[in-house]
Amino acid sequence: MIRKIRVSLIIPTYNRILKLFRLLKSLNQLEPLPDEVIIIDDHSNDQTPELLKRWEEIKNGFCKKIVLKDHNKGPAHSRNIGIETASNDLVAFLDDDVVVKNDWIRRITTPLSNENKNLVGVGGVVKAFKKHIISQYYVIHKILEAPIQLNYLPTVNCCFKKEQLMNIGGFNTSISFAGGEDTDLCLRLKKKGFCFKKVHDAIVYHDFSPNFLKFCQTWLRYGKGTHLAIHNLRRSIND
Amino acid sequence: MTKSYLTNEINQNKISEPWEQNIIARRFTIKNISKQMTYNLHVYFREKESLTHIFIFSFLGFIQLLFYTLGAFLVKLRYRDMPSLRS
Repeated sequence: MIRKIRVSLIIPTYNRILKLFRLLKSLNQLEPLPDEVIIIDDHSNDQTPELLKRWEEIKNGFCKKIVLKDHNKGPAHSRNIGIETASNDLVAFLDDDVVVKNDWIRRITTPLSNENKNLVGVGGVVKAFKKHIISQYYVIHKILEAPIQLNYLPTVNCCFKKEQLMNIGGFNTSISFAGGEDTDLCLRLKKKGFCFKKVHDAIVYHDFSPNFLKFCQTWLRYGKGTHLAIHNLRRSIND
Repeated sequence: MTKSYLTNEINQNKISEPWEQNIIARRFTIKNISKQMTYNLHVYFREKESLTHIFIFSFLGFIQLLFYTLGAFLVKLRYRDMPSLRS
């Protein structure tokens, strides 16, 4: 009998067919398996919808849900659809350009099954899938990991309690690009008095782009996204 | 020593909530560039990275601060009425 953990795995994707294919292959190696995998395609222009339709037909031992969006509305909107679609109390998020270690789902969900009611989210560790100088920079500086103050969890590798996410209205869809939407969500959860935890053995391998221009664009996005999150937070405090 | 791209705000007197103190972005300042350099020196001595890598990391850190601050600046331009926590 296949062992399963009652968690819904949510993966938003956009125009990354090869990386998504690699991730889907790595999900088969998970031990135990997640109960449900939800993939939300953000209106990709490549062959992603065809890949997902073919993947849906394969039996992997977990329930599959695929959402094909009519318009590109960003990862925050996709993740909200995933949260609404999820049928389990725990929702785990992954980016489409990662590969998971086989015990990842067990490691990331274990802390949330204890009695601490204030603990709503758990983040893991991000390592490099390919070794180049930019990926080394990201890994050594722990940029895609929860900071030591645990004030936010990057959605590249995290798990939350669904109920609390629903209560605060999910991700802020006004941040329509990748960067800052996770900070915004976690700030609102923190404001409600909830806390997060980082587990050092829940590992995913991220395929960082070696392109220097993309590095610059990423930081521009992070700067914009984080300040939008701060703007929203200040507005909510003043309201 | 752990670093994140979200660190302490330099001007902390503007912040009223303790949980908010660490989320303000690291800006492009001499002080923050020197913090980056210090972190890279730690990496050099503790992780035994090559000096060439340390120079490249320092350059990337410089670019990171620059573009992060630029992104923050663009948002501030868009939301000029961004309310202060004091108000």
